[in-house]
Amino acid sequence: MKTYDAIVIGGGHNGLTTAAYLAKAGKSVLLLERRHVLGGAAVSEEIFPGYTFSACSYVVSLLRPNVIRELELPRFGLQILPLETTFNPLLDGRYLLRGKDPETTYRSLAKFSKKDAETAPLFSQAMAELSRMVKPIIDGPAPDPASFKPKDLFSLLRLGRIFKDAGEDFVAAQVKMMTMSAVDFLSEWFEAEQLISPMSASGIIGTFLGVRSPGTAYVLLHHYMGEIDGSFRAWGLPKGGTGAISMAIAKSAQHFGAEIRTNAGVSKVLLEGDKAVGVVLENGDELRAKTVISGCDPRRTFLGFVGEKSLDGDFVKQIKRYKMRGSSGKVNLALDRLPSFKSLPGDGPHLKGDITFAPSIDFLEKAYDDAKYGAFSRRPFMNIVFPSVTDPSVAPAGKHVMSIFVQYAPYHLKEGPEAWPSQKEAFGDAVCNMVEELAPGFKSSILHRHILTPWDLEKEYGLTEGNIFHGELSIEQLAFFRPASGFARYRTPIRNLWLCGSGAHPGGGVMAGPGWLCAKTMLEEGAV
Amino acid sequence: MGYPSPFHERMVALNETWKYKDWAGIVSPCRFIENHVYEYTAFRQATGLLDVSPLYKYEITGKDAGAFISYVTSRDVTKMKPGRVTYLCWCDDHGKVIDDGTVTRLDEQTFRMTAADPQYAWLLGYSSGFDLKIDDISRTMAALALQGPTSRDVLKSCSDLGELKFFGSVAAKLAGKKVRISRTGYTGDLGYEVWCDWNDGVAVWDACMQAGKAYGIVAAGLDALDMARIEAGFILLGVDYFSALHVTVPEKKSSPYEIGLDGTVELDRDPFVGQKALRAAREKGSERALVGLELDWPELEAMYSEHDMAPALSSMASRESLPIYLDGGQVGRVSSSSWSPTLKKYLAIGSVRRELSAVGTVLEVEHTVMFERRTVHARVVERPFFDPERKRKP
Amino acid sequence: MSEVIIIGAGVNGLACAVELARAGKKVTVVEQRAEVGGLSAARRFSGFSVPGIRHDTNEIRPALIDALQLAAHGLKLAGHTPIYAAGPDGGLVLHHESDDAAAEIAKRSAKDAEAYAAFRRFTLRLRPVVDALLAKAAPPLLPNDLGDAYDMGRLGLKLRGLGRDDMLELLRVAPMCVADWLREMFETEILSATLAFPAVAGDFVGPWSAGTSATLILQQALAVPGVVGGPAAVVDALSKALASLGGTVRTSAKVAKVSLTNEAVSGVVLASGETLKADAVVACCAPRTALLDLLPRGALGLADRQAAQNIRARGSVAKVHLGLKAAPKWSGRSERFARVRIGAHLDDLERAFDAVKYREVAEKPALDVALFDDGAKVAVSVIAFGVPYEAEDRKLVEARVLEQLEAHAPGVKASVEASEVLLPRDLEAEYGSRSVHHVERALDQMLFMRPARPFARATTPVRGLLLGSSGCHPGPGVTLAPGVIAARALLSS
Repeated sequence: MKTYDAIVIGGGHNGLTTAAYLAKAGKSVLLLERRHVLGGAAVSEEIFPGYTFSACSYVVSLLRPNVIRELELPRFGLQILPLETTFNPLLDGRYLLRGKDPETTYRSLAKFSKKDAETAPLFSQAMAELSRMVKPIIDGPAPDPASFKPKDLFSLLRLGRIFKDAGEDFVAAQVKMMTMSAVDFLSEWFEAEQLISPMSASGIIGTFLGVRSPGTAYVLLHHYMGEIDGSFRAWGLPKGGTGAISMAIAKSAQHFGAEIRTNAGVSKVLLEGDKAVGVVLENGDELRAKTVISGCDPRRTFLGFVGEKSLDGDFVKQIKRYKMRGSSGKVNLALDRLPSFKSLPGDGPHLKGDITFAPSIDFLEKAYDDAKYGAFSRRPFMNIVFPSVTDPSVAPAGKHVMSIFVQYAPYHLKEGPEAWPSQKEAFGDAVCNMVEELAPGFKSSILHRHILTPWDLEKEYGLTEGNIFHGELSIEQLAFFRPASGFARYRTPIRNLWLCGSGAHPGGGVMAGPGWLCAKTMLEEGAV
Repeated sequence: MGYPSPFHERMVALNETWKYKDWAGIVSPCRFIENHVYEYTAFRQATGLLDVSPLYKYEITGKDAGAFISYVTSRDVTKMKPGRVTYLCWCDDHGKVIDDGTVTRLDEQTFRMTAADPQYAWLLGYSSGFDLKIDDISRTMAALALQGPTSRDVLKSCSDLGELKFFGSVAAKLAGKKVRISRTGYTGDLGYEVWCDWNDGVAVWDACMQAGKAYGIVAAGLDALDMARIEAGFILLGVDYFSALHVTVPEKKSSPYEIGLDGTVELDRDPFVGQKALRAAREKGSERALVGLELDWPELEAMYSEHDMAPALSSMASRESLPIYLDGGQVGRVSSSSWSPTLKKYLAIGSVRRELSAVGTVLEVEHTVMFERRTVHARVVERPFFDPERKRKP
Repeated sequence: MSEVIIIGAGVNGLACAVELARAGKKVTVVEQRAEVGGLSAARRFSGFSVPGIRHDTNEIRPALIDALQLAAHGLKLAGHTPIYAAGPDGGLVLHHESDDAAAEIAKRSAKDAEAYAAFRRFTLRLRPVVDALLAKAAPPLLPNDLGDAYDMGRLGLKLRGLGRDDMLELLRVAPMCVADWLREMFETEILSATLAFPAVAGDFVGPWSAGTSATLILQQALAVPGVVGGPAAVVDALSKALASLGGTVRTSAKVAKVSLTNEAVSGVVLASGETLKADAVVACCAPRTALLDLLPRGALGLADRQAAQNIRARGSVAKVHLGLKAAPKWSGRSERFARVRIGAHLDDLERAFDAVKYREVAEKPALDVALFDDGAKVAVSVIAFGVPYEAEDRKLVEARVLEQLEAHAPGVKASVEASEVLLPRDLEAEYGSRSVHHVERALDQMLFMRPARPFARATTPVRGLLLGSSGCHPGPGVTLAPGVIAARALLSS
């Protein structure tokens, strides 16, 4: 039987990235995917005939540009189409439209506050400056502040120097970003709630937090990170859906010699003593490898594939308390025609971009309150895109697909997560009713409806508790705590078992950071 | 998406070139006919009519208006008489220039301020504790510059303008509309600026054009203005210096002493924004200074004739940044340069190490001839390069 | 001999004055109210007396009692007062020390009794770090000189002295929300809710807000038995100490402006118009007031002024004082309690905060109640969490508080003889800050960021102006530390 250099569990974009980097380095790599299709949560699926959906993750923001370059992804079909604008319909019939060009943005903002309109470019400038300084932290493995090992001390020193060079202003700004609520942070700059509210909403995506919750300001920074990355426009739609990214990485991996199998679910990691030596498939087959790398979330990896018995009790405790409460859902629709928004009727550039419905801070907080007490938001926060407007290949001519990211849909319902199947349609209705309120007549244009609750995300896509980031992005679960202290560098307590998914530093989103850094660390340390 | 100027229709009708650029979000003609020197000539020989509405404008009213402007800008305007205009700059807390513009005192409690960049948020930031109101009138007040030796005659024949001193401002009637006329401008020549309601713009334009026929009035664009302002030695935000608000690199920020605005800083008075830093800057002396440079024309000619060419210099003013050298080392940069049709000289505005800023100092400026980077000698001269007596004369 | 003016005769102002007077400075404390003590001054209403806006002294630093020699002026440490957490099935009596607490908690959950002991051990192990942090001005963000580097190094060693596990646990837990952390440890909800109360009340947070664990850790690590006689006794001892050192206190003297000469502090101007000269001023009033209202125009640059404007101090508690004819009888309990908390579920605290978020008075405010039983009548001091600054209806707040008390002690309503309600706006009008903490406790308003970065470490960009209130490091409570830290910062400059 062949012994691979590495077996990667899970064909999500991070697993694929690790596989591609290892294959590129000349290693023999086998990647195993449980589903019939690659991509994990970065997947395109033709859910209804003729309509292709980015079923889960739907926009790219932080896909590391070096990964695009090094894996030659454009050569394997990756094309990212720009998301022009951000459109924010409000409940009073007004709207905010940002991003088209500075002048349009200025005039749109000036309707609500001239001061804010003038401050907005200064804010972007300050954020870009901050991101520039944060970048080295994201682009390297997490430091370990409690370690006395020379290597760790060195990396701490390196961080220290970054801080020292940047000066106190930067450190203070960084502390503020890490610890403040998005609303408080933005209120230091802006006065118009119509602007603060949709901006703050980007701080809660994928988290179980409200816009007033401390710690939500940090995610704002991610929006500006792309600006300095050399990638034009941080936000974009992959042509052919998010799955196209995964497919491009897969083709790159295959080009470099990796072997990929779908319909090959792993049931456990094969151990010999404290060493991983391969995997057992759901069909009972055993496959051998010098290293095993899991792209699945930490809970599934350790409590599922490895098993509590083979792990130290303290580590199990850490993994068990690692928070992965899912908080969001997705509604994918096939439409007969595009909706016409009350606040900005008809067709227009606003439908080409990202539509964030976050009309007021109280609205977002009330949506969050529902979730805190165990219910989905009756009036939810929504992030909408119409991929078919910029990429007609995903729908039949003249028809459209609509992707609605919805928050909050807490995994832990008052009645328990297993109550989700019985509440799924009601959840879908709440979302469609909310859109109908903004765009009367919208409901009559729906041809097909596909709803993903956190329960579905767990059952179908293997995301424990439906958490789209493989673990909440709260401060105590970032950097050297992700997913557990002492194991934040892709290594695990099991020798030769590695972690390369979003549950590892630097975390979630279609950024391929963990996948790339895991492979890089393994290669540097001669682990494979 | 550009925003139309109050004179948009009139300017589009006259513009043969379809050359426009974005000035503060407003669609502004670069030139009306292909040869912009014709428009420039109007500034120096007759009257050039130029839309300056894109300037940002603020009206500051209230008991503390004067104290406030004195607090945020480089000058004490409380001593100004109503009907006077002053040119000044304003700095951040570290004494680095944010913008420059004019302040007009309309009456005891009303001032108007112009700016190149939007400053509403910045002004508001300092306004707490002052009894006043700040109105952003940038897009409700139109402004039309009439610049050139016949501009006084044009205005006298279409308005009730009487005698107006240099840097004076007066309420007037023009085409039946209430306007304000100030004897100010950005060309360094005799000239006026007419301030009126945005909606009265077309009427005011028409009246000026009608009256101007007898005095050689010509609609002028920004290309002509750029030549004229370089001859006049005026600096431009975003070209010759950068706003301290918008740059993050400290070396790109400037104190007023580094960009030739020394004269606008009144240091010894009540506390004002940046005062401490400006005091320190004055004591220490700035490292850089703004200079006017005259390129050695015979040398330029010689360089071109090596290639059997006449000097192939653009007739357009240039905003390209060019290094200034001395003995092989870089000592500064040119930020604006232009051929002067009036002086028949090639002029430049630049920034050099202070010890090299004395009039008469000879430096070298980079110049590319036939794809080859070379240098040409340039002499520091007095600014303004061109300063006609008529500019100030009653 | 140089003169120092201290604005505000609260415990921090007085402590600052004593420390300076001991070092031979001539000090004058100016207080806008007619009596000294500020938030800690006893409050009388309709024949009853309660300790004041603050009713706890269990954060006082024993080292500072010694340093200021307050024992000589009659200050004595008391014993811990157990807290009764009112709730179903007779609630829970929470003793501070784990041995006493264990028995009570074990009645509910043996696992929690152990977990509580472990929690107390953890917070006690942090005490040396917290003490080191509290004794001095907050460490700087980055060391500016050798002294800073030495201080930071020492603190770093203290931190590392905790051991790898405790240090990582501290780093992990501090940014968490108390709800997650407490529920990780305990299964008894009422225990979690009772412990969470002091970590959220008064701030613009609920137990689900990140960073509240840091507040809880600080509060737990600081906790000492408190003093006999409560906050008023501290005020009294400080006043006597100051008098014995020749310090002056002027009451009914509101400061209108801090005056500057050549960009340095030269004194203050009182509202009466009177001018007092000084070489330095220590503002022990709310930092926002000092920086935004008292300083003349132009004293602060734009960035510094914006930083001052951005200091968050929104207020979320009202004070309700009651005079009762008889001691309340708690459902399912026969004992009398001196301290009671109402809000048995973390969600109760969260819902109280929800209301504040929406600028409404909570249906069921969460309460921290101190009872003063003179054998006959009972004076009650209630901190009611869930009252926003926007609240205007005192009757409504009183009714909701009484409703909550009545639910756990039937008959209370009928025994009310006198009452007084202080909304956040009343606190602002009378005491100068809508927030009882002067500056909200939040991770970005802690340590070297408290009250805001340009004003941390007790100093300000204005020469001769120092800050020494609860709004400064190390924070609120009767600790005496901010005042003393400011005094020491002045003495060492």
